[in-house]
Amino acid sequence: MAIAIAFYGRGGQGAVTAANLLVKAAYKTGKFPYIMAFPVFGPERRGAPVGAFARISNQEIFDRDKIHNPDIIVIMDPSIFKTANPTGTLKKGGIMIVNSSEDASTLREKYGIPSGTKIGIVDIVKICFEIKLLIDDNTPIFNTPVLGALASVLPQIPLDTMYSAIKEHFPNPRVAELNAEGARRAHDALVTS
Amino acid sequence: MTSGGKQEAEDASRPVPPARETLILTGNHAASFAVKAARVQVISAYPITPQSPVVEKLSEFVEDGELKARMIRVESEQSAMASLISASTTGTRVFTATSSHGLSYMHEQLAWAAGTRLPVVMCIVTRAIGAPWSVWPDHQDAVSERDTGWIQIFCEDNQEIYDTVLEAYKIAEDERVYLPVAVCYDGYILSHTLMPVELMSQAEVDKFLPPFKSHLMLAMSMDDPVGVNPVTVPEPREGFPAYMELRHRMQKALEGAAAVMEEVEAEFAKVSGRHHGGAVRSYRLDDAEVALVGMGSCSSQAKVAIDDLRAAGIKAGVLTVRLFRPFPKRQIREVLKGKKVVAVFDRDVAYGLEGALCAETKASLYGIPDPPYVHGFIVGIGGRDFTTENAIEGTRLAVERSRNREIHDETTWLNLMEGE
Repeated sequence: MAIAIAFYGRGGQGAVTAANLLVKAAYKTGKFPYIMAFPVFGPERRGAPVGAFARISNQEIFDRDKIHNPDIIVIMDPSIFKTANPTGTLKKGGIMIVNSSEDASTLREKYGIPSGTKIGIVDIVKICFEIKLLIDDNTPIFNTPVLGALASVLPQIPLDTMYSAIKEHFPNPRVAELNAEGARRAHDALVTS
Repeated sequence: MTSGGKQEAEDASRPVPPARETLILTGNHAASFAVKAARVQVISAYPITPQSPVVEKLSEFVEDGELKARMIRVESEQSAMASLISASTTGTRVFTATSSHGLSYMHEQLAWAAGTRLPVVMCIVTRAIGAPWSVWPDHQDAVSERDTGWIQIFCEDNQEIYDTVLEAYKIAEDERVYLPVAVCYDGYILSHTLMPVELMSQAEVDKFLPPFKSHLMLAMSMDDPVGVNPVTVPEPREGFPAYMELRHRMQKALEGAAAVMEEVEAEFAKVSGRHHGGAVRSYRLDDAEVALVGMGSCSSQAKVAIDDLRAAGIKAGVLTVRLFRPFPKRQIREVLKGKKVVAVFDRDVAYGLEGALCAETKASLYGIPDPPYVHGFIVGIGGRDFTTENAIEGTRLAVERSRNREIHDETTWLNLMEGE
């Protein structure tokens, strides 16, 4: 079983960290001894469109190309749809997770997401402001809540395993706890249709 | 055994060697951990993308006191290699890493390190060479240095990077070799990609790789200075060999290095439990009629194509060329003899000819009876993806052209865009 996940966001939103933490959590489950996570290699600057990829598998992974046909697409920032809409690359039967305050029918209409394509929506911005998961009191942190949302569509990686990957990443226990709370809320709030 | 009880008590009092540990590491950091485990004494480097994290991590290890090494900060790659040549001459274990233009800038010193027969080990995090400017991966930088006398080994995954760096010291420091070794791996594709890497315990590494004992002639010290590499005249004089004899010895050492590498691999396998195949590695080739050949990311990606090719009636397998210099002619001949078609995927161009790996694979097969039909493809230049579909497309074309043993003097490039 091999699962490919593509993350799209803007520089500073943590697409790369989300991919890295996801594969670490996947590895921890013991069900995915083969993992890889890598960024889309390009100029690095805050605000620029960025992507990151993750492959998790129970068999050796030989792929060394980009992920062209992901099972899951994570849209950290809906403005990405306007610059490079990745909807068409989603594998048949795959799911698209979108951080948005809008509902599924609005997103489908605005960004041409076919009715047959599964969407999971979670308003990460709202969650971040609720629990103060913010940089400089004003910038939401997307990467750890995204992991919670992924845990709800990837039953092979329980939320608890996501927590332990998050806690290893943040040495400060208070920060770790806050990020884990963000993940938990996003997990619970994800609405799929 | 009567003394069994005493023996047990003694064993229990010994310190338990720290267990192996699996970390999720980028290819660059896998290299850094191997360099630390090898107890390298002198590191000298200049930053360049995508190599820099290798040396950044090493500098952390040195600062934290985890690695007792001297870190020399230099103003260029040329100086990085020059300083390592000096350090290695005094009998220390040395390391550097570079990419692309940094490697090109070292060119003169690369020849100097090899000609002096010094066991310098370097990671080449492979990247395209300008112009035009590119920071993305292909194999052009490493391949362009193939004639300097360095041993070059290419890796397919991060575990192989860790293991190969350790093997590289053992090969380089073998008295039958005494040559510098470059451990090459694809920039970004491995350098910035996380994968699980099992680190050996320090005790295991120490057992495999004892401290470096220098080439006796060159163990220089401040108390007993000697001149190295004076003007060396065309004919031997006063019992000293001439340039041509010294170069002949270097080539002989290279000719024997593949066999040494295979010995080192066998020894490494005993300690680590992992064997990467020696000079070349086969994947589903035993019953194959068609072989896909490549290095690093190319051969790895080609493996993904095998199920589809076989389902389409093409009995295919993959040959990974790990050792690019010295070129493992015998090993390649042995694996490819009897195959019908060989498709070589090069992430480089020997400009004006064809892919370097393709040209050399053909040369290795010269003279054998009923040789396979060999067709080369240029792929993945300057970070362009080399996909499973490209591997399938190339293999199909090679099989088709083999039917009439067509000769194509022009190169075939896959995944070109914009109507090229």
